Amino acid sequence: MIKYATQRIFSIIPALLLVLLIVFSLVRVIPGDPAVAILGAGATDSQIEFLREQLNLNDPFLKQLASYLSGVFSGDLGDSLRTRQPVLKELLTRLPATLELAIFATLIAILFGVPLGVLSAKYPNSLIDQITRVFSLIGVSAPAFWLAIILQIIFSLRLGWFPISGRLDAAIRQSGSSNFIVFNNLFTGNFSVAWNGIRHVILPATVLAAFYGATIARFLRSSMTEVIHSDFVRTAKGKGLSPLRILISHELRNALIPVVTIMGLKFAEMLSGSILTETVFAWPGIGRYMFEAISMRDYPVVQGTTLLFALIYMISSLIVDLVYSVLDPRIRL
Amino acid sequence: MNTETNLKYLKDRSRKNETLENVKYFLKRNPLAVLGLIVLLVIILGCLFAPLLTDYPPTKISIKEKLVAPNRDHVFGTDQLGRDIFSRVLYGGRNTIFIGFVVILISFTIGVSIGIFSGFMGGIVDNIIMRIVDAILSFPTLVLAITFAAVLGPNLQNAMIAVTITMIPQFARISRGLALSVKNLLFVEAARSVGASTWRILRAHILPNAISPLFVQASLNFGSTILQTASLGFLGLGAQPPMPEWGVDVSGASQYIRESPWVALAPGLAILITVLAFNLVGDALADWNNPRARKGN
Repeated sequence: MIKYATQRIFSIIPALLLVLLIVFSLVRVIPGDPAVAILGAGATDSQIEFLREQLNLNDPFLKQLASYLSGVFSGDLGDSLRTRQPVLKELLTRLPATLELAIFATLIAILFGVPLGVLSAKYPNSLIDQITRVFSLIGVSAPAFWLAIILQIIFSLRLGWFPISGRLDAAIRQSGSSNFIVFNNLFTGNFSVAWNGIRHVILPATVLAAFYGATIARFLRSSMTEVIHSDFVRTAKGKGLSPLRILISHELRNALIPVVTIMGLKFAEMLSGSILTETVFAWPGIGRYMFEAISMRDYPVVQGTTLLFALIYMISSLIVDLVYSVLDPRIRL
Repeated sequence: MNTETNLKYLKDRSRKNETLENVKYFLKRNPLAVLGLIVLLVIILGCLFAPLLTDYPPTKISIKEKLVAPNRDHVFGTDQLGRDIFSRVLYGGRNTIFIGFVVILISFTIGVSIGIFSGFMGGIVDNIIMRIVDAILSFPTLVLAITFAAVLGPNLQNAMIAVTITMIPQFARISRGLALSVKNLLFVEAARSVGASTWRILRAHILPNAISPLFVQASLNFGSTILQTASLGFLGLGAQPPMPEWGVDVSGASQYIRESPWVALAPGLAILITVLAFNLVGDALADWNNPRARKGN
């Protein structure tokens, strides 16, 4: 196991280096002078020269690459052109907001995806199966930004159930607002603020969960269909186990393995939807940070967020592989 | 006509009939795919014949009539600049769907060529190409498309390049796998032994045997291409106003949803329905190509 794990961890190094190379090259593929592109046509020569200096554009290519790599490995992703703050620091202050959103999205996705997947496998071609099919098709086909706006129209503007945007009501002033608001306040017993945070998180989390929950329901349906007809389920029935016991400890346990794999692989994809969702809901996470950086041509920030998303993607698929090898020892061979 | 050409003619005809029978059988067994095809046909025809279906030009501004609710004149209402939304959806579809089509065509051609070449060559060439493909696949597709579009500069052409870049490795990966599985079969060996060139083997033996799973993949990727293009448009990285495009139109409408929710409704619904239709067809084809899944249904 340890041997497989170390092998697998070391195997991502070449891919990681190539990812870094791509992210590094991003600013260099801008047609013409990147400094001019960033500053616009009205910039003076000294401004352009200053920016070129700051982006290390005057050095030879390989030297630029070397200094970029050594920077990344020592935790330096450059400074934001807009705020002059280190990109890594700004990313880390915004990451909890996005993670909190992702955790709620995952919970909502499981809450809907698992029962729908199980029921539609148990009762194929029934009404619930058809409903699941329609919902999961809409979930993977609906554009996230539009779904976000539709939920705002229905649940905030018309019904008034949830706030339209932000993380907390403006009246609530809390220091360190970029932390895990809901979880912090739950732990410190500040339930009214936590409840306010939950009300804010539900709509954006639902938007992210639509795609994720749909994926879970589809894969669970097909893996459950296979498991239900397997020999060990017939044996369990023959032993006279209760249907609930069979469902939980025989069917679900086996059917969930491929679903967990897919969830791990699709996690980063779901997270990248936060660029659209956070923009619509004014959610102060890394997705909105990236959007703002794009419109301000803040390239170090664009590079940093891109790298972060790629890292999350690689790490989640690494975790999936490792977990899978624990669950299914044949993989290690 | 001599006997040989006669035989060849008969063979060709029976093969054509067989294909037609297969298509008929597929459509009969997959009502959802038929539904998807019909919906797609309606949408595409609607977009093509837009000038016949509406008298309003999509970019004609009339401030006096801004934010009019749907009525008999303006079926979907008008937007913040008084432009007819029905007209914008029809003309916007021309752009959104056309972009998707071009992106799929280019990325399919490039990706499949790279993948089949890589799988057939094997060795170091294959290794290098596949490492690069893996590295590109290490980014979530949306993030990569957004980043490339942002860096290249916000316009439609760059958005198309960005989405194409994210699609190429997906086609390359699949076609490489297919090439690998076909490569050592006897008929390829036979072609090689009679001295066929690499190019001829790739084109005449490997590609035809790998093409149907690739078409399935293309139909599935069509939906995500449209979603990505529209997302780029929404973020201001794709088509630029006043050009009608579904993603751009939802974005322009987002400030007015408080009083005039219909502005955002129609263009977004158009994206949803189009992508849904492509997914219905793609899913059915994928199941069809995978006998194990077919039996399960």
